Amino acid sequence: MAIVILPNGSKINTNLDIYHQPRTDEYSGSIDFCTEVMQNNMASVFIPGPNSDLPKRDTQTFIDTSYDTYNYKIVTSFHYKKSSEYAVSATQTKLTREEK
Amino acid sequence: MANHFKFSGDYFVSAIGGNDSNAGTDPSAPFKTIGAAVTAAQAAGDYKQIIIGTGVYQETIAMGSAYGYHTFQGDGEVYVEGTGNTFALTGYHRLNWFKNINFLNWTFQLDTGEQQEPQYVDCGFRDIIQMNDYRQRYNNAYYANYTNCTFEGCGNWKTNELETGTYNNCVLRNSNTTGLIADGSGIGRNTANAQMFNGCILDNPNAFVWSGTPDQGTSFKGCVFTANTRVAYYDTNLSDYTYNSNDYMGGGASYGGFLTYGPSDVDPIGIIDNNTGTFNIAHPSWSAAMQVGIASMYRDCYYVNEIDYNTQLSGSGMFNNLADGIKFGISSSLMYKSTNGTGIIPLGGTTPSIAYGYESSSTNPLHPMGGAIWQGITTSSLGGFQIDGSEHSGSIISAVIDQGAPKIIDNIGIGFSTTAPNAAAPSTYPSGANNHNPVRYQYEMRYGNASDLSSETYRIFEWGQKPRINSNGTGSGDQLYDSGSYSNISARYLQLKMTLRIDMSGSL
Repeated sequence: MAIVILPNGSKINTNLDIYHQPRTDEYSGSIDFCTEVMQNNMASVFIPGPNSDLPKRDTQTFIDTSYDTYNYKIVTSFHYKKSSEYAVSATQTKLTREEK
Repeated sequence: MANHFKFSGDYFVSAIGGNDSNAGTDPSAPFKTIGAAVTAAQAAGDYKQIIIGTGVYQETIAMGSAYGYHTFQGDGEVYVEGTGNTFALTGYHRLNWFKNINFLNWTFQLDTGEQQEPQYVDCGFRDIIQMNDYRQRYNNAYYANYTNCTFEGCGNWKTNELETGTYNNCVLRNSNTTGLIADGSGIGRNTANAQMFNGCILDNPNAFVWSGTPDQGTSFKGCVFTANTRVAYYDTNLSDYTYNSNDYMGGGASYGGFLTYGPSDVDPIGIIDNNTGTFNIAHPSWSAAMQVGIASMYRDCYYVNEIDYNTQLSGSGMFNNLADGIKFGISSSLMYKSTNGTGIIPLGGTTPSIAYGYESSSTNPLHPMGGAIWQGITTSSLGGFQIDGSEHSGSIISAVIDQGAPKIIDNIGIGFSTTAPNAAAPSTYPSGANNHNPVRYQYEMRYGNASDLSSETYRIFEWGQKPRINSNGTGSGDQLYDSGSYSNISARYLQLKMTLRIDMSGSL
């Protein structure tokens, strides 16, 4: 488990979805920070799908490089019911912190 | 293969007749999954119209982190069903619209953070444990806006605060909108804010449909409550009026009491007067209710002792509305005393209806005892009609139904359930030129103003939709139907041919 202190002073558990953080005040500001990160341009990664003209969504990523020590990355991952289908079973959105 | 979409749009989806290898932009070659359409729409940009055809879609509608502005338009009987998944919607849905789509059997309707709720119009919600994910930011759930929607067996609890949300002409049955589970137990929410109920039917007997403080903007206008449906108030000034100091809310003494409608088996803080639509001010606790502002939350509300969802049920007390159970008719004239209605939009989006069950009775036109003809049909231990195991389809030709006078038919619905989604349907199985693959839920009907309909022709219509006929005599459920020129169906006598089809792609 990785508990990280964010630049706005709140905590975030990077092993959990950004929307499913602990229900305590010290974590409550994490979504504010994540929302700011998600104001950056989104980069999408696709994987081949059963329709060659329609690649499947794999990840959607936002990176905020404006901080001195760390870059903050938010990645939404798509999980599919079958590899041969576009039907989604779940998505997960997590934050990671990377040293510059 | 024609798919008979009625709506135009950017992308088309058909669980029954689609294929994800298609481009999805032509209604004759739709996608099979909503996920394929969302993927294509996100790649193409904003403001896309995604037209979803009849069928069962067992998938999460995932937007990811990309903004939308898309419209998801159900075109027929559309069910987004939760088998195998947890969330009906994930990602950024705030700017999306959902129209005429039924959501069934989900743990959560919505994942992700606050203020990302879509707008819903003409949608159904059934057996959804939580309409919002309680793990949201600050534990606050912001409500979506609902118009002409029905809720059955839906809950929403464990959030700290519930913000906004408008319910226009909705029906909430055995459901609640705040922090109480459907049976009325559990902890109520004291901070439900600014939720507005306009022209709604609130049916939660002996349980709560809403709880909160009376001074945070919530209002009920032109609503009808069933008896003993309760609204609970958090106000310490009301604590003395809790009946015999019992803790009806389960939330401790801080919950001051509740208001109930109609004859009550316990002592509420107020009872609405059905003759005037106002509160019974003779009740001893009325002055306290006035002091905390409860009365100002209500305008033109009434109660009925009970709602018989199958009123005018003919021939059976065993009507089993399975998959379509969230669509019910209400005939009680009391339901229409509300002054909210404009006469155009009925209360709760409902209209009086007649329902027939499966009971063996001489008054049931769907049973052989009542004059129906069964072909490959047997009764079911599940409650309803069932295809005989030896048949690939089965049909019921009803007895001639006498409505008493010529009437315009608003719609004819069916309760339908299957363990094989998209591989069985209440659809037609006609021979000849119209022996197409079914992509909508259809039935056949002949009609007239003379009791002898033997010379009339069966035409194809769509379940749950207003039946119409075009100038060349084609019914509105037929793929040959041209919606550019049509008239409504008006008749005194009706005869229905209903087919349960399990061969969805073959020919007769």
